[in-house]
Amino acid sequence: MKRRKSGVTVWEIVLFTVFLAIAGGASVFFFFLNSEDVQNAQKQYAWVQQINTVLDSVCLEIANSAQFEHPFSGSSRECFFRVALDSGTLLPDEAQEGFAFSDNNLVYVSRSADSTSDMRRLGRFENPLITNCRDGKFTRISSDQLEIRFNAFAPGFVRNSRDFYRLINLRNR
Amino acid sequence: MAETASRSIFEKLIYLGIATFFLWPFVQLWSIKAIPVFDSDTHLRASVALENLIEEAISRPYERNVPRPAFKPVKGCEDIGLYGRVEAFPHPEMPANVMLRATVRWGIFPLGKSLSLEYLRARTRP
Repeated sequence: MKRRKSGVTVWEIVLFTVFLAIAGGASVFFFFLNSEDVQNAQKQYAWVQQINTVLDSVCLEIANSAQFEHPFSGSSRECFFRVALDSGTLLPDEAQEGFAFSDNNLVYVSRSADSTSDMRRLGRFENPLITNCRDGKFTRISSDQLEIRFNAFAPGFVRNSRDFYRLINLRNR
Repeated sequence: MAETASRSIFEKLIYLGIATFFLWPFVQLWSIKAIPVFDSDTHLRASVALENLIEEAISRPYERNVPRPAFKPVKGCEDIGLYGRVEAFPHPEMPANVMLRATVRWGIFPLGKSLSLEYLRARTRP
């Protein structure tokens, strides 16, 4: 007599349960991905990354400066240097560029003999480079080392701040 | 009888293929060292700490120190358990140059990650 097995086997039940668990977990996870928390975290991450990108180019500009002038020692709210030109020549001594923390912004400035004025932009970044930052200072640690440190507040968050800290090796002192 | 027989090697291979198909994207994400939602901020902080380490190492004169120094905790990143080290050694092929390699690592053993950055510099300043 030929006996056919009817109904589901244990193996099929296990497989079904596993797939159901995966599907349930995945849907919960996708709801979590769409949630407000994750969007806030993504916004904040984009903000931090943007500041770090700006800081990268600021550090590059300072590190490659032909001659670093202003915080000769100690710390200051601004820094000035003589820029490195593509031609390898030096601009006159009184034409300097620099960065300054003023009115809670980090701005790219140029300093001549009689005045200091804001530049339009640094590379692809508009002035002010970084907004809403406090306690910013440039510290000359040694003859060839400069430190940038500030605290920035995230836009749209009540009290959510982040410390940014960079060391720069001044290639040409 | 066919019900009680174990799966053939061919069927096992098929299961393995299906499992790999599902899991492969996660393996790829792991290999680029960035799982987007959970790890990116830690990763960003580690990369900035790495840049700071290499800049500090560049600003020092070349000193012949221990070949592979131990990992030390990075200041300011204790909350993510970041450890860093800087190696300086003569370049194996160009002895006039010095190789600087900064490495940071974080996480515990099976899930640990590391980033490294190398810089080649002349042994004496021009």
